[in-house]
Amino acid sequence: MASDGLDKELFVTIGATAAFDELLSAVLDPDFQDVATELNFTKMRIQCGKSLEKCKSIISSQPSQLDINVFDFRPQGLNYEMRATTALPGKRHAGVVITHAGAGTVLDAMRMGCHIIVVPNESLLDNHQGEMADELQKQGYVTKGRTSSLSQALRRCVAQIPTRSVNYTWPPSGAGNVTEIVDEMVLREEAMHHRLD
Amino acid sequence: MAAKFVAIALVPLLSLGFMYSLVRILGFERAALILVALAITAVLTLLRILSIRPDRSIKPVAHGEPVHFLAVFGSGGHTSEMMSLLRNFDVTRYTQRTYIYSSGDEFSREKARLVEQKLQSKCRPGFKQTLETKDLKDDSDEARLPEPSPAGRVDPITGCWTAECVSRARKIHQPIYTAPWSSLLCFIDCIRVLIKSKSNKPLQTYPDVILINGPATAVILVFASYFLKFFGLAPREKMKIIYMESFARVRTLSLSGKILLRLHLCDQFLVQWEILRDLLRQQGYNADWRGFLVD
Repeated sequence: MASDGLDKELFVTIGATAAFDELLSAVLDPDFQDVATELNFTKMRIQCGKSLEKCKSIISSQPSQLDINVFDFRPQGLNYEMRATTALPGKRHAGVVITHAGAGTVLDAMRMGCHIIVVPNESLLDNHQGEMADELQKQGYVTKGRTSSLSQALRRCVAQIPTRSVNYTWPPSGAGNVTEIVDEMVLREEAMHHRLD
Repeated sequence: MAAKFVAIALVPLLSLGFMYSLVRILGFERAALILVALAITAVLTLLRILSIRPDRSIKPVAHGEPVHFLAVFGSGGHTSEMMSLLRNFDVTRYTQRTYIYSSGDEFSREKARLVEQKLQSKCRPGFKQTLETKDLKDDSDEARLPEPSPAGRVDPITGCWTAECVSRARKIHQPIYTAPWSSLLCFIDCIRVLIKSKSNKPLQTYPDVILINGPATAVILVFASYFLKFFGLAPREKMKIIYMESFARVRTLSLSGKILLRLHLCDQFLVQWEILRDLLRQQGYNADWRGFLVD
């Protein structure tokens, strides 16, 4: 338990398409969980796909100070679990989402204002997921992590929570508006003049 | 590089061989007649293709007139990105909306309805605040929104939407040698759907704009739209193609993106990462970047 008695959640998701056992073993590692406890995390939910039984047996065989919850999939989406990592005054601190590098999941988490560690699945051949994690980290939206050094990534991510909450919102203010782009394409000149008036 | 040279050398060689055998089989006069006819057809085809190329200076809609858009839903990731791309449309101005999904993908059909539900509820007063006031337990945003008008029925405020099914261009794990056949079926379906969308109320025109993002079906649909323009069935100013590359593509294009960009078939080709725009410009391609498009 954190000193003030408030919850602080970790949510781990590996997505629905591919297995990602390296990430699951990384978060089930006792050393990682010690670091999480040291950083005042109280709960960890894990979406672990088809590796559910494997995860359950690992969890039951080792004690942990974290309250760990596992499930395979949520057909209706992960909004609930993601929102549980966002701060709510008097109830819970801002937690962290640890996710595979699937664009859909990362976008969901950014939209919800979560603090995010993106862990690309290095066993998948196509590496454009890693590129996305790199660029998003460069722009300050996420922390990129590796399965081999997840504790460090968690420390980095938690250390950035105060500044990130202030400086980064999703979608960013300079985001493109598809409606405007379509209007430019289909509306004749007089319409554009009219809009400027 | 070597393959390119071989190809360039093969073209005149093969055509010379073709002409020679024609002359041998048919005699000089008949062969000459056929060759001239072929040449004229080729030149006319080329001119026709040039005349229907994307041209940003021609626009289909006058100020104040309603717009018909068509969006293609692929599968999984493509569909959820498309839902996000469509989030800001004002259905009182875009009064006709056609969604295309692939056979066997009822999931995407349902997503079209969800998009409509969200867009339509924005212009029905009293439902705007639902998304802001919620906490953990309120997981079903959609459940609290009013039902959209049923597909195919014209609503005085929000116009009309339809979801059309086309045969899938390529199933996952489909053997590659059957792809031409399934693509042809998809192509025919796309033409059918485009022609049908023209007679749908309220606007009864071809789509003014086609919004696509990656799936193979979308590429086939683009070909179908050019087919209709080529034979004069659809006016050339209609069916502007706007391609929006996936948010997941940071340094390289998807296969669909590559095909459409290389063939110069899009009126607007957008990528979501500045670095990708720059890389493409270095290769001589005119891609555009307007910041992130998804939310």
